[in-house]
Amino acid sequence: MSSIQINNVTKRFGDFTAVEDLSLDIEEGEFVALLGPSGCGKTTTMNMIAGIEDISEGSILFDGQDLSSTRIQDRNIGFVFQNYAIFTHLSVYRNLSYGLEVKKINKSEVDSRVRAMADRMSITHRLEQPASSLSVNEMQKLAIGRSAIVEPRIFLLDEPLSNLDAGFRAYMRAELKVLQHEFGQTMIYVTHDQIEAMSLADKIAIIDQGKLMQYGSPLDIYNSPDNRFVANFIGSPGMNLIDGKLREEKSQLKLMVHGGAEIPLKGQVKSNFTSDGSVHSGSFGIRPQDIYFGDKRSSNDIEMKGIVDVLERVGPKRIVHLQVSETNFIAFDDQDQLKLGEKVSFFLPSEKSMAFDEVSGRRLGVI
Amino acid sequence: MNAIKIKNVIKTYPEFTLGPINLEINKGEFFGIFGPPSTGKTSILKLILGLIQPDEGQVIIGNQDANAMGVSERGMSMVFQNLALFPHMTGRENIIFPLKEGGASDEEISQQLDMVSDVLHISHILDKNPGQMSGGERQRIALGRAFAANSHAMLLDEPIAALDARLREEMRVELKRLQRENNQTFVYVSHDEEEVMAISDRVAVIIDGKIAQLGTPDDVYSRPNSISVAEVIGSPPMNFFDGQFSDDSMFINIKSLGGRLPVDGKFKQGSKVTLGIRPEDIWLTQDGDKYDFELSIISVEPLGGYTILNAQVGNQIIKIRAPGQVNLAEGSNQKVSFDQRRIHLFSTKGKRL
Amino acid sequence: MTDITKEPENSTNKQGYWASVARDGKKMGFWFILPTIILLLFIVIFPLFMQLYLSVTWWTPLEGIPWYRAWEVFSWGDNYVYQFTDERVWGALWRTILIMVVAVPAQFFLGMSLAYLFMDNFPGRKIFYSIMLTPMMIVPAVVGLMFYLLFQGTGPINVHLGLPTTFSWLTDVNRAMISVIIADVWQWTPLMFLILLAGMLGVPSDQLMAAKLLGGSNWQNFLKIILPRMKAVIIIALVLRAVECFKIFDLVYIMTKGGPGVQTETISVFLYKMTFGEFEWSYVAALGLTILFVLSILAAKGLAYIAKKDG
Repeated sequence: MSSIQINNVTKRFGDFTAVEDLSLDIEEGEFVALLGPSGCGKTTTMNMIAGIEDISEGSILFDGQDLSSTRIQDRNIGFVFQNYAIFTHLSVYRNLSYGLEVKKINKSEVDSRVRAMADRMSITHRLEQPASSLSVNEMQKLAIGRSAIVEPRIFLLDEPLSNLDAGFRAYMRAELKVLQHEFGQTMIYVTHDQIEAMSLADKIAIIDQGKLMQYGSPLDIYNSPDNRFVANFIGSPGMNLIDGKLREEKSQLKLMVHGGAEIPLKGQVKSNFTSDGSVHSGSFGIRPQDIYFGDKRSSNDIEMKGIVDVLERVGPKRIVHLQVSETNFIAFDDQDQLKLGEKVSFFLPSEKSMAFDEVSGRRLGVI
Repeated sequence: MNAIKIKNVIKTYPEFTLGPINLEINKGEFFGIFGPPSTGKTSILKLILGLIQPDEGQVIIGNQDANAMGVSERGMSMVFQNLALFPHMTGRENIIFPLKEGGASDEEISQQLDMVSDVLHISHILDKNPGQMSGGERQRIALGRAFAANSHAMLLDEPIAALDARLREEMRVELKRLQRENNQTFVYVSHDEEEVMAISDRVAVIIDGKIAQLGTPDDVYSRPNSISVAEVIGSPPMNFFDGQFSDDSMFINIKSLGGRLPVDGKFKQGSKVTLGIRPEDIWLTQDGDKYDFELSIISVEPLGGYTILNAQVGNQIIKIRAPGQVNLAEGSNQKVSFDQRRIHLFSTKGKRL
Repeated sequence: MTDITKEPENSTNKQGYWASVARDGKKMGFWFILPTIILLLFIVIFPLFMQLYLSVTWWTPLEGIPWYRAWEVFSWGDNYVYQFTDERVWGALWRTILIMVVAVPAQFFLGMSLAYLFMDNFPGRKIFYSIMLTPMMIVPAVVGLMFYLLFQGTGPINVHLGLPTTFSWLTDVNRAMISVIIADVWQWTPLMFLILLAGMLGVPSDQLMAAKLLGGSNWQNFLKIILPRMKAVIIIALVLRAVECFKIFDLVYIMTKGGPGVQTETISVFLYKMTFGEFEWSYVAALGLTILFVLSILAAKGLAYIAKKDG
């Protein structure tokens, strides 16, 4: 079990900078998710930790040790590939035993460890069969078992659940969490699915275009996003982020939205926007579940009027898209009452709204 | 009037048999087809398009038997799962290809091109070759090509699967809007049930090559007619418990939970039943509710707007969806009760009672 | 645009065979292949039957009768029987097999080692790759001439090895065979290299990386991951080269003419001499067919093994 320190790591491929000045401290036994859109550099970062890619600048320390001169086979790092990379020409047994065989461990010990792992991953009944005959779900378990059996110092997983069907994914999420606690290993998990990251990780590192956007626990990031990117990325459905220019009109501060709508600013969110005098344009953020219909609950709540544009049923909830001029607000229709095309009033509680600077993206009003 | 009708169609494959399938898709409808992978969903699209012929039964388009119609005569566009973009053409050339082949005017072509590049945010990649694009960009070009053709029906086979979660959510809404504005008939296949349920007017759930249930998303979600449908619709999936009706058939006894629930209706005394309850219909209770159960929480998934709790009872993991941010320690015990209006009962054969 | 509710305008509902051909891929395929089949018929099938016909007669061009009247000198299976007792046939066969057994493994190991070196990218890889392939691209006759000159008593090989000019390669009873084998290995190792490299590159690189991450050394990974996955390719390469060895002619004929004496006389050289030296055409026909038969069985066995493995 190892702690990992990523110190100002940069990776360049020719002209293209994939990862820029990334620094991260991962503690022993922690489950950390590297979260970000495709191409953000999360897989490159993980490949650098594994040693599959060289580091252009900076260093990665394992328990304080720099392993960059150690060759891959000696690093003792567990890695689960996105497509599992199972040895398809070998049996399930030989896949599990590979890591032990190459260490020349004696046969009987290999056998007992393989059987124990197969049991743990519930694939004992497949041991003698060719690995290529497994279902996708079983292959995933095999990939994890194969890496876990050599008791690596850290475990790296590259989008391991992306190939699974939705039902099994939910099940595997719970399994992975239990496994990680059992093995007690430091786990780093690459994904673009923020639901996965939120449900599994102790800490999430959000990466965009090679840069670290925020690093913290799931709820910290959710409740206190540092910048607009993080606010947009985390949360399902995503936070409403309305961009516009600030304008003072008859001693009332308004956000003039690019699409034509106007949001009068009040209460907490107004002071957030005015906290930095240099900010003239920004984004208004409000989570869908915080928008409500019906009667106004507080004087600081902002009233908006819109038309019901789209209604979506997502699981147990109904999502409503409200159109205000050319801008869209997403909210929940908890009463199941709204109809397509209906004109409706809705409210944005200012205490729950967030303000972001348009230029830098950082959240305003935070000390 | 039906746009597309599938009547008693059967198609035999070495691994399984697809059918008999009976479907009627209305003009201007957004029709979703959902099912686990490799169960024939793509084959249904191919049958509609005419790439394959049914072994038995008919595909009827408009009011014509489609057997005599070639693929190009059916007036449909298809977005394939593997995209099938022309690798030697740029994004722009790919998109306008069907229009050019169909003999559209230059004006119409440029109009359609502008429309789709706007909606799909692909203006910046129109001059690239597919080989130079990312997976998500390629997918949008494939969508653009199908849209630009402006056919009366669009067949989409997992069209947004390769996109990131956030982009998928956006594209979903855009697709729905486009469909509504152009009043096109959409047949949308996906193995992502959340996606299909969110976007479709009606959904056909395909299990083992047959239609297990057909109805509006609301119907399928709230009233699944069998266990096989109930277990694939909804994320996290429905929880199932084995139960038995009491002798006076007023209660169901659930052995694993060590408790019972009252039931309303005529049921066979003493018979076995499977009880299903969705994660969001299990409530966390503080004070002793009359019919509550105690569970051990093994893990907590904080998702921001809601929290998923994994509880364990015996060997079974139960998923609970609680609103907001719940602070429960792993390993603690928690009392829960079931929303009695939302209990689903299934016979031992798996059918809804 | 077509309204799907109306009868389509340009309906290709024409009856007629050609319309259905345009729709059906399989039918179209048949018509496209037909010219090739006809060609094959004339180039392969027809001569084969001719050969069969001649092999059961005593006919030679010296008989004075045209070939289609060869039935006049019918001999049934006499030619075939004679093969088995002909010492020269056995000798040629033995020598051909000797070349095969030495040259093919040599090419294989050399080719495999080179392929392994070329697996990962290194600066100049593309240039070296082209250089590696050149021996294979030279006309065998020219290669034969090349080595003929190289192996001369007064040639560069002797000079560089510091051997006297009397040290002969091509006319020495034992060393003639060695020179031929060396020439063959030089010319055909690139082919092995090509095929084996293709096989090696077909091994999924992420599986190799997974093996490395699990602690497997390069050698262990080669034995356990790369080699097993190359089984089919290896068999193809070996079968291909083994069968080719039976046809080895240009090199041998130019370097040694099969000599000294018959020391390097392979089957093909023997057949050549029989045909154009002694004009025993019917005998050659029989021999040719026998060889074809034996090689076909060997090749079929090899391919069946691959088909089984592929599953």
